[in-house]
Amino acid sequence: MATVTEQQVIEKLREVMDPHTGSNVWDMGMVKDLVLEENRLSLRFTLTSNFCPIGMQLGLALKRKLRELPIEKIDIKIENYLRAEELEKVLEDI
Amino acid sequence: MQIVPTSLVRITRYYMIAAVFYLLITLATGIIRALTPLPSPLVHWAPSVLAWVSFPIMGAYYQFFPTLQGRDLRWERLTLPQFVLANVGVLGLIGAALLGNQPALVAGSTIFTAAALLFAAIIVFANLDTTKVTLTLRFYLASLAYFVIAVILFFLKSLGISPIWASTAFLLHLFATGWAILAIMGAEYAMVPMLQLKELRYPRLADAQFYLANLGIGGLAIAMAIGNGPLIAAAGSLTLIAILVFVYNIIASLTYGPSRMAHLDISVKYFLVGIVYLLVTALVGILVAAFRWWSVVPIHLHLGLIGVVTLTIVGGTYHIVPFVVWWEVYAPKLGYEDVPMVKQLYNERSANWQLYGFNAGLILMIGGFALSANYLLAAGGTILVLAALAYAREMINVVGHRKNLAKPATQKAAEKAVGGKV
Repeated sequence: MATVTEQQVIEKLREVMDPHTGSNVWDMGMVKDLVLEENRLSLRFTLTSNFCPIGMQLGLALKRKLRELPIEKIDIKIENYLRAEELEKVLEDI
Repeated sequence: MQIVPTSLVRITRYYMIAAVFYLLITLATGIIRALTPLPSPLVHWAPSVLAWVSFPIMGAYYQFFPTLQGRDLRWERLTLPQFVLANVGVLGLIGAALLGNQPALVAGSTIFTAAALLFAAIIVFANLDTTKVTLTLRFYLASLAYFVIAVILFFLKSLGISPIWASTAFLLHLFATGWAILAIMGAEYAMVPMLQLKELRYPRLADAQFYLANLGIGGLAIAMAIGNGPLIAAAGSLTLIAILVFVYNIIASLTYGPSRMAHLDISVKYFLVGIVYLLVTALVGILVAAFRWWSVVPIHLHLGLIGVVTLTIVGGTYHIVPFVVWWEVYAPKLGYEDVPMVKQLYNERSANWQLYGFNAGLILMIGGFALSANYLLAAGGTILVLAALAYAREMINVVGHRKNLAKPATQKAAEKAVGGKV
């Protein structure tokens, strides 16, 4: 399996757009503590609002984009979101 | 798994688009009223207060309550019958007022009251988690209480058995300040920071402002029921203080910390202009009560209903309608394919011009009232109609994006079988 670089991850994150602002989630500072070790990725995804109505869709889009990279395991911790636990569980399954 | 069920997004869209239709009826009847007497003032204010003002609030609550509570409404299936009832009620009232038919007026009022009570029941009794009542929801619930009281009194008035203190001015204040202004404050506390990627600067001050606003608005209602001018002015002043605290918090939220947005969101622009009119409206209202300037009442009324409520509703719908359409059409495709941004669903330049148009129309209209010049009223009304038509066109264009809805698999299979559209 090819080794993925942090820069490649960031490029993927830049493809996930927030439909409200038209900016991508990386440049908006919504992704924090990005750690890539031995082809395992972990990060914190912080929503701009606790009640973000598209939080679910954004989380799913983020995971789908990262899944395009040959990464063995992706752990996403959701923060500042009313249904964080529920979303984390869904993201584990895809 | 969806945080806002599609059916609620749909009902929100229905309410918002129906409201645009009633805005046009309101403006048309307003212009006609400036040129020739109407059979009843209800022809103008039923579509205005009960539909153009109330429908977007109902539509927004159907979306905000599940979103802010993180749970679905239990009586969701009743939302569509409730929408139908509300429309039948308003149209019945307009028709009855036009024809001067009292039994039809009672029927229209009964149907609208049923719709309003059903709406309140769906929101309050159908899955409200009281441990999760946020600041915004608190404002919404208080506004809902005012709405229910106002609708019941309106119903009693149509039957001819309302209390003597429930004058038309009293009812209009319940609808405009209790129902609409509290809803606007609650919405803006959530939407302004959200749309500008900011945090509410002083949440505890907003909590205190909620009680102050209710004290002012409740006091205003009591003072109006008593019919005491100085007391009305005093309660109005308290309401004005609550408005000033609200404005301070909103401005502080917008100006605090670094901005991640290059410019003001179009909805926020409308909201801010609406806030300026809110201050002016309250001030004019206090002067009317204190000095008995009854001739200024139409200015106070139109500053409030057009400057504050209409601009805020238009601004709000420029976020809500594109969002609900985007949510329905494009959210499922997010991450799979390129989708347009919410703002790309409408023409922002046109929305900016509409803001100028609404302001120009309103200022001319205020001039018309001040100078008792009907030609200025008609000119102002005409500019408002043009702005409203451009706004309606924009909303229709936004809804037009629904043609990009993914077709169900069964329809796709049927089309493949017949080799064409089915």
